[in-house]
Amino acid sequence: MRGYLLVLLRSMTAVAAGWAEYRLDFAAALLTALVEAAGRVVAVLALVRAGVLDLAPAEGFVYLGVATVVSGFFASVVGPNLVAFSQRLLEGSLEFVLLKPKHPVFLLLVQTASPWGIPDLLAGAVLLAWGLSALGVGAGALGLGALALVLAVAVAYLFAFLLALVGFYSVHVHNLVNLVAGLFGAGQYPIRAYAAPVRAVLTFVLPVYLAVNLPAELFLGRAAAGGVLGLLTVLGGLWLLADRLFALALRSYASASG
Amino acid sequence: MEYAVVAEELRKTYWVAEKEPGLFGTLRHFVRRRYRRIEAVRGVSFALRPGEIVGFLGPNGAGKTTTLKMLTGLLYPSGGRAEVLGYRPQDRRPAFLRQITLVMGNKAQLLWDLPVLDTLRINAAVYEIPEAEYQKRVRRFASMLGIEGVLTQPVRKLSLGERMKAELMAALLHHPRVLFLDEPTLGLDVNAQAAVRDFVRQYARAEGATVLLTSHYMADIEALAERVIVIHEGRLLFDGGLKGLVERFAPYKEVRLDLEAPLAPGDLAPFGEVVELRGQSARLLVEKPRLTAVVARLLAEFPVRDLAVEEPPLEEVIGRVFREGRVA
Amino acid sequence: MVRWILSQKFLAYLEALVAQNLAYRGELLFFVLAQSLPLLFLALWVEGGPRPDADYARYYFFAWLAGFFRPTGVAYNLGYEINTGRLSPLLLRPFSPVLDHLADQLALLLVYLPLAMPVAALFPALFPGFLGGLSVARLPGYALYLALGFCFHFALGWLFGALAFFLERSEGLLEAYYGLLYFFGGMTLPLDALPPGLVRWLGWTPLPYLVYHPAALAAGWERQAGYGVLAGWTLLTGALAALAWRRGLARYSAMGA
Repeated sequence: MRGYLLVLLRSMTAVAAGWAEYRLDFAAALLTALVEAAGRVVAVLALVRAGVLDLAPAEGFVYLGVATVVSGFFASVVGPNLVAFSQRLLEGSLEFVLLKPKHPVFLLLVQTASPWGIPDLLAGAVLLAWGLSALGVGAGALGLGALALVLAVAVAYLFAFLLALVGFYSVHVHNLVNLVAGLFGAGQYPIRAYAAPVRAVLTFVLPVYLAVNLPAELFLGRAAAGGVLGLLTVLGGLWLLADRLFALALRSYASASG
Repeated sequence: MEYAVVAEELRKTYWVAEKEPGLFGTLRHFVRRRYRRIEAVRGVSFALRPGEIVGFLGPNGAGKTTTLKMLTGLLYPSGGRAEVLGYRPQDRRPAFLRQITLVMGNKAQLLWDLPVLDTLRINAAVYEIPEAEYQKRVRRFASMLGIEGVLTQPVRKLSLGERMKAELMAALLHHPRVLFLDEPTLGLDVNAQAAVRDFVRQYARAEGATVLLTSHYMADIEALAERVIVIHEGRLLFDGGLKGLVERFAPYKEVRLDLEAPLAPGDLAPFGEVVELRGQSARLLVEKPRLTAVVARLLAEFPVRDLAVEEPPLEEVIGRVFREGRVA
Repeated sequence: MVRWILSQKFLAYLEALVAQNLAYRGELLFFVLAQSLPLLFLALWVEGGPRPDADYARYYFFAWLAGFFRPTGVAYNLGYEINTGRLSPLLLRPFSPVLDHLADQLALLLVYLPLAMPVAALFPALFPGFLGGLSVARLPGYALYLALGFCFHFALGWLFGALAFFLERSEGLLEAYYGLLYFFGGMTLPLDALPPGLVRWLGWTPLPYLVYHPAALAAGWERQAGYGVLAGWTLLTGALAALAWRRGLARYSAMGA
């Protein structure tokens, strides 16, 4: 376990060193995040006012904050790593990962990161802080929510990885990640506000409730603490599935230059 | 352990998608893809003793890379058995992976935008090499390869030779016991090739490592390997000493001629295969049984200034083997 | 230029582009699905909004359909060609490389629309009153909005692509624009749900005329015509794009690329 942590740490410091060159892009990403955060705030207020969402505005901000953090995580970590993974598949350089004596899925999930999600991560944190402080949420709920958020992000990540693993033959992983991130974006409002069929899909087919709504509801004290256990169980299940599926995919993997 | 590497009737078959050109082909490819069966390796057997350095030869598409990938656990064999250091490679056990390495001359594991040291540090963590040991190995390898100065530069700024040397450092940092080297000198200039060869030899000698090496440059093979394994179209063609290879596939000697007067193109044809004819000098391959008779006739019939009999260059021998596709 | 677009050759070219785009079969599906994400908001309104479900369905249907007439990727592709020097060989041909992108966008439209049909068919199936509220008389106005919107977005892509002559990367800024369009153009929420002060202010930008007004018009919510504002923005953007392109080309060839 310590070995894995060290790999994570060193990968991340190496990657951060490569960011310095893209200041203009970063400024643009910051502007985009600002525009989108403003748009989301206006939208959630409009939906509350129209009676579509049965929430206090501050509660809406908590849901929104969690969703924005998840979105930032997709832009910073999920997307870049899954794209790098598919690139390795196309170039046939997956070999180097497979030759290493650590779990290849782990190595694939921590190989890179991009700064593009940072504006969203910041915006999400601000929204979350705004909502939570307005509501005067206690330390217990804060801790529980934060823990759930970490687990939820991991659930979303593994879920996206599984989709990429199944889909990499026919699609650009980039598009797939964008779509999944967009669907997880539905969690910016409580899932129960959606029409019943959509609600069912977002709960049972895609883990949107689990990965976006549940942390928000733990922050708000609307969900039982047992929800954290549920997240842990799902996370463990997804890991086992990823491990098995990856081993299966490897059996049929023959790289480009046979 | 008697053998470090064993391949027994190793086979690999896979399927590739095909697409015809044009709109119709596009539509068909869209709806239903057609596949073609490729038999990359068709029953190859050999075994390497610990500490042996073996050259692995064959033309492009012979199945060398596929075999190496099966031996490193990257590909599942479709049939036969592979065993490396007592492990089944395709199980990809961490203990196995910690003891082998694969260097591919056409692929890079170094992180492109970052200094070499960053990749090395990540690898040190992946292979759980203690910090002090890591520092020691980096210093030793860097001085052996003569690239101390470039380790802090981004990989994209390195020359091809420097990059390959750095790739070797990254691949050998964990002190593997079995090295699979796939075209490690691809595209390098003569000096860099020699440096890479020396490094591999020194490393193998110091660590007692087993090496299986493919290369298009016969100089690599001649410098490193006493034994060669030749495959062609997925089948084993030859396994034995370098000398044996020459005798088996080149029952020829090369006769170099220097003459007093220029020759016409057809003049030498009756004596053997003319490899080169340039004005007053010529090189021709003569079958060994006819050698004495041919040399006597050449001396008698032409105004010879100088005549020398040599072993033909290895490249030409191998080239002949592949052209004729002779099976042992 | 116009003659070329109307010629046989252009059709053959379009056919090749369609084939090229069809080769990425998975991507097309993903584009259609990604375009359909704002329909999640429809699922919110039908659950808790004050209007009848079919009204919302019509609005979101036309807002969604407008998305397919919105060229994307022009700026990115042009910028890529400029930055990598791939533009140079393209400049040797007897027509402007900008036309390539126009043809490519038209080809994409031809590819996407059939793929969008199954999603479109869901609307009358899911919302019983959907077809009843449609009126053919409102469609020409909707189509005019879409045509103007297509030109506006193409000009915008051209402009930001041409900026790559001067800046190393420029598509990033366009992302912010799409963020604005997404939230303040009517893709996610009909603008009548936003604060009226904000909406009045937005009326001076091209945003509401690209999604909200066309969709509201076709859905039968309103009869307000804002073609003039959008046409003005289109002309302005097109002129700026042409200027940036000409200046940029001069600079590009001066550098000997």
